[in-house]
Amino acid sequence: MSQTKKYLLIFILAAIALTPLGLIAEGPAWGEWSVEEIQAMIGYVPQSIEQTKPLIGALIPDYEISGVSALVSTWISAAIGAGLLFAVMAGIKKSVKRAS
Amino acid sequence: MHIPDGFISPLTYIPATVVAIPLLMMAFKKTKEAINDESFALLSSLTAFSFVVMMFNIPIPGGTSGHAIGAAILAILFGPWVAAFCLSLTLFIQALIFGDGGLSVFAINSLAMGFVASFSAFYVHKLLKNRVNNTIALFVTGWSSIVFASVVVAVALGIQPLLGVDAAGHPIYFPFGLAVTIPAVVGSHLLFFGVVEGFATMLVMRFLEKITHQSSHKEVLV
Repeated sequence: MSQTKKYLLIFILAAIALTPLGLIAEGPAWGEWSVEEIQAMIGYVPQSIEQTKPLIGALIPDYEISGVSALVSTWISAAIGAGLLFAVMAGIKKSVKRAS
Repeated sequence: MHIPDGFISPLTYIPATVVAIPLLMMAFKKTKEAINDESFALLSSLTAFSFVVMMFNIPIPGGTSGHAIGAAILAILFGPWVAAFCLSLTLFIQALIFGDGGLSVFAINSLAMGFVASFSAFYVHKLLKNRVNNTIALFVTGWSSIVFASVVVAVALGIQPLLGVDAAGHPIYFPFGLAVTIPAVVGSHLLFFGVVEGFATMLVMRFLEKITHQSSHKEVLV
């Protein structure tokens, strides 16, 4: 592995290791409220927000794995997300090579 | 800025999807042209970084939070199309696996944090890079990229009360209009998350220059 690649890998692993720092923020992003939060805020829940269900249920909703601590869930989620992106990018590179 | 399912009228997300599909096809084509054995490590690492950096939620006054997105770094190094593709891929994984952002409104999130952030970063950096100090150019590029993206999200959310009310007169979709969404979403990015994105862009670019021995003053890598 080249020196640059080694540093890039360390960079990503360090970033993943630090992701639990994101747990410090308790509030959601502005607008990304749950049905309960909207109810408390304006006294009703807009029809579409209440009734719309996601097209496909998420595998790990909100980066939280049930039965696993928030800390470990965050690490696993970060590793899965980063790993999947590496895998998809590698797949694209492979398909380009095969085509040429 | 990840808009969830149900918050947006089909009158908004269908046109957004129609606009986004050809753009995503073009971005995919450009990414395939850019990806090779030399570029792969950096390109895939920065794509993974965009995912990871979005997990760093930073609390701000008012009880809400937000994060950087990492689009500017990709746009400066690989051009706006490739950056938009990488960010969109990240947003797709977030929606599909983690329920962060709705799949039905994926196009709006992709247009905002993918295309608008990447294209604004690319052109702002191009405008500034030989005119002002490099560090300042990087900071302003990162800062403005997320602010431009936030304008798209604020407008998409803020027009929803105009697009449907129920029998009781309550909005069907997102309940707050532009007078609320613009200050809340754009304001918080101007003051807080833009600054975070600016510093992230600056620091990561400095780090990459060190490890690749290339200057961000040079042309786009591909």
